[in-house]
Order: sequence, then C-alpha cells, then structure tokens
Amino acid sequence: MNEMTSLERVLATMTHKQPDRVPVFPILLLHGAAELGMGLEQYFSKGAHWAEGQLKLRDKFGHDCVVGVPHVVQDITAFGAEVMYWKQGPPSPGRMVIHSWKDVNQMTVPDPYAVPELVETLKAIELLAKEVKGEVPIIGAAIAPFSLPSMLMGTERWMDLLLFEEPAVRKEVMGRMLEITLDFCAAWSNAQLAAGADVIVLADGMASAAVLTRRQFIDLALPVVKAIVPRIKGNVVHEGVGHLYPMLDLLVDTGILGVILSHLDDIAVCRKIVGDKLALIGNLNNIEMLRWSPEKMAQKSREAIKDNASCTGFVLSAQGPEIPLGVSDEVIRAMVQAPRDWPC
Amino acid sequence: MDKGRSQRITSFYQKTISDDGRPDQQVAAYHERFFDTLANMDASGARHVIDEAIEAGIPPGTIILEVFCSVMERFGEMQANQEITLSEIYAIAKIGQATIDQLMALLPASTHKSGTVVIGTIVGDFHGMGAKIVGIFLRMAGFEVHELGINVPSTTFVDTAIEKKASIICASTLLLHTMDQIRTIHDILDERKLTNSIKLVVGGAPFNFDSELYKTVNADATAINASDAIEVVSRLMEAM
Repeated sequence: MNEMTSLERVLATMTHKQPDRVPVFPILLLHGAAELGMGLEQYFSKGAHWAEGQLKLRDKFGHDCVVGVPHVVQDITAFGAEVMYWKQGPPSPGRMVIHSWKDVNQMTVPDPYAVPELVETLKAIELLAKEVKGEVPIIGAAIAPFSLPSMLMGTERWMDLLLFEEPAVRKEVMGRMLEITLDFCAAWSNAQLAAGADVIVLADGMASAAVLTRRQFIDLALPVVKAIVPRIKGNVVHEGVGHLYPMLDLLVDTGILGVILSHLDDIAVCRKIVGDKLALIGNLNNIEMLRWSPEKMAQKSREAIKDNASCTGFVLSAQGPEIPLGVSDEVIRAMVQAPRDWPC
Repeated sequence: MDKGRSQRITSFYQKTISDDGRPDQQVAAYHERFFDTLANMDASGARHVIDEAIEAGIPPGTIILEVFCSVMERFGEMQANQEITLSEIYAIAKIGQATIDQLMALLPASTHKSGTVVIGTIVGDFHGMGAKIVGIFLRMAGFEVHELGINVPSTTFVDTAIEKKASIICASTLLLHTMDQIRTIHDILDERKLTNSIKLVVGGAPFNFDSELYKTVNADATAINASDAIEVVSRLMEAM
C-alpha cells in the first residue's frame, strides 16, 4: 500500500477502512514551549506560539496530528474564571465562579469570539490550517457540557447538586446550567471548526465509569451527549477522562466518531462492544510513561495495537489530557515509531 | 483485601463501645437494609433504617458495630475492588457521616481517638471530592480530622498540622503538575525538622495511575482509596 498522508491515514481508520499503518497521536500540549525556548505561561499567551510549537513537534516526531487548543481549562476563562499557570504543567483553574445556585441564574452564555483567550486559540487553529489543512488532522477540543459545570463550581458542589439537592431545585439549577453549557459548547466547538479544526474532542471527565454508575450515566450524562453532538457541525470524539467500557455501548449511536480510552479500558473488550461503529483512541498510561524506557514504550504501544486486532478503527494514543513534560523525546519517538515497526 | 484492613473501622469502635447484642437475624436484617439504602444513595432511607433499629430497642453500640461499621467496610472493600464509582462512594461517605453522628450522640461522650490528621487538596487543584471522602472515612475510623478543603497552600498544611498536633498530613491532587506543591510540603517539614513527627500521605489519580509516583514527591506513603487510607494512616501512626 502506498504511504498515506496523516489525514488520509486517520480518515481511513476512523471510517473503518484499511490505513497504511495505525495512526499515532502523542498529545503534546506542553513540549512545544521548549522548542520555542520559552516558559509555559509565555507559550500559552499567544496562539501563534503553540501553533508554531505544534508544527515544530510534528516536524520533530512525525506523528499524525496537530492540536489547536493549548490546554484543557481555557473554556472556563469564557465565564470569567482565572487561570493559574505552572512552570512544569498546564494551567489550572485559579478560582471557581459559581458559589451559589443564584450565581447560575445570573449567568449568560459567553460569545467565544469575545473572549481573548479563546480568540488566541482560534488564531492558532487558523495558523495550523494555513500550514497543514488537508494533510494533517487538526484537533480542536471543548469541555463537554455535562462536565463544564464541575470546573465552574467545583466537583463537590456539582455532585451535591446531582445527588443530594431537592428535586425541584436540582431540576431548575441543573436545567439552567446545562442550557448554558450546551449553548456555549456548541458555539465554541463550531468556532473551532470554522477556524479549521477537523474534529472536536469533547472532554467529559464527570461522565466516565470512574465517576458515574451506568444508571446515572443514562439518566444524567447521556442525554447531554445526545443533545450536544448534533449541534456540533463536524466530527466529534468523546473523551471520558476515565474508563468507559461499562457504558461504551450507550455511546455507539450518539453520532460520535470515536472515543478516547483510559488505560483501565481493555481495548480488545472495547472493540467487541463497539464493533466497527466507533473508532478507539488510546490508551497508554500517560502517568506511568514518565518512567518508561523507549523499549518499554515500544512494547506497550505494540500491545495496544495488538489488542485492537486490526489496523482499522484504532489510533494509538495516550489517555488524556496530555503527555506530561517529563516524558523524554526518546520515549515519544518510540511511541511514534511503533506503528511503523508493527505494520498492518 | 486482608482482614486487618477491612476491620479498621470496627476495631476503633470496639475500643469504646460494648457490643451488647449478637449479630442475630434481626440485626442482620438491618445490616442488609442499611446496605441497600446506601447502595441506592438513599439518605432518608438510611436514616429511616437506623431510626427503626433504635426504636426496636437494639443498643446503639450494636447498631454501630454490626450495622454501620460492617456496612461501611463492605463498601470500602467494594471501592478497593473498583466495584463502585466515585459518585457512589461520595454519597455513601456523606450518608455514613450523618449516620455515625446520629448514633454517637446516643452514647456517652468519649475522648478516645485514633489520632489526628490534616487533609486537603493541594493549591491549584479544585477537585475536592477524593479528599472529602477520605476525610469522612478517617473520621468514621476514629481519627480527629481537620479538613482544609481545596486549593490549599503547602504552608497551610504544615501550619495546621503543627497547630492541631496532627501526626499525619494527607494531601490530594488530581493534577500531575500540582504534585510539585506536595513536594513543597515535605520540604517545609524537612526545613522545620518535622519529618519524624509528621508523616505525609498522598492520594489522587496520578498516584493511582502509577503506584511508585509518591516517592518522587518524597511522601511517606500513598493510599489508593478511602479504606486504604485508613489502613495506611493507621500503620504510619502505629510505627511512630
């Protein structure tokens, strides 16, 4: 088979056709700063920086994607939340913006084009599109509407609302909250697609089997997934940020293209559950790989490819959100090399 | 799970409460009903079962040991085996806390405690559920627990531990990079020559994803869940 471009390779596997080899996505949101010789806060201040960082990283490693978003918490800036920067990792929320249910009633849906941080992301995607559109998949991302509230009010408060609040209050506050996050997520995702993103990853950290029971997922999270996916005018991948296999069958008919799996998901089991209806992306342990050798990475990558049993419907990647800074270039190279050494 | 771990909660109450009854059929039925209500995250149902047991004349000490403790330990085992989710164990911990407060109010006040612990989620991290759950379970196992909440600076952990005469600091994080702040807790303890009198236990997703990671932040131990935290904290205190 002739060598495919990264986009052809990814499109083939995502649509369950035979690619020339398994595509590989090492999600590198942080490593680009060093390529540009700058600290993370400066790196994250301009879309032009991380667009350049993404391109340099792809030139260096030869993987099959570029990522248009800088980090996972940028969405909360649209709601007035502060972001706290760190020297060795991605930013984290500086404070919560919802302190009472009254705050929810006073919220409005932010316009992504009016939020400076998000505008930088759109610039980055546009720059990436200018350079690699049509050859390399450009990945966009948004916090899923069901999980975004936990980043605005804290996981405990969100869980208290879902589990312990009076039904009438829960219905009203949860309804209003999800109305806002659904509208925002749709607008934000579509803005990224319009700027040139090829796919939107919906990060739904409160909706995995680590957090919710299957029943809770059906009652609380699944309706939100079903509501948001049709509103996004492009390809959508779901990321549970935790294991998903107990509810994977429920995601098959939601309109998503694939799922990002946790290292606790068994790829072979997941493949049996979804058949050829969803692509599987994952599922290397991004924390443990901090102390992997290149040989160990090669072995783990091969095992993941082998577990999928074929080259179709699978992208070799790590569980989210990103590969930590301490993972060496040699280890990343071993991951990118594995599909080349393990042909279809 | 080893027997010692699963019975840590019971063993604390055995030191202060006399088990007046036997685990007869009636008590066993309350155990099962209490378990079911918690499994369904039904707070009012759990309260109803305990009220009914009290009204039926079952001694509070028996209810604590044979109903409450044994049910909580069952859930601890289920969490260790990944048979229940975070939302379930969170609800169970909150309902369990209310239940034990209700039952202990029926008993003479006791000054006995297992030890003192300071717990919180490190600065930069607003994911407080894990630490909250562990704090509740530690309290149920007889520890005096001082909860610091979320986004807690490293110095606050140490200052509070000194002020409250705690021998254990439990620091939680969901985020890999805020681990550096946990390392700072150790550095402060080291600077103040407190590493022998105050031990550092860490928890949270990164430490669960890599069982060796706690060593990189110079922690004394890690706990993978609430019942494991009881075991780890107890073991460290016994060794001090």
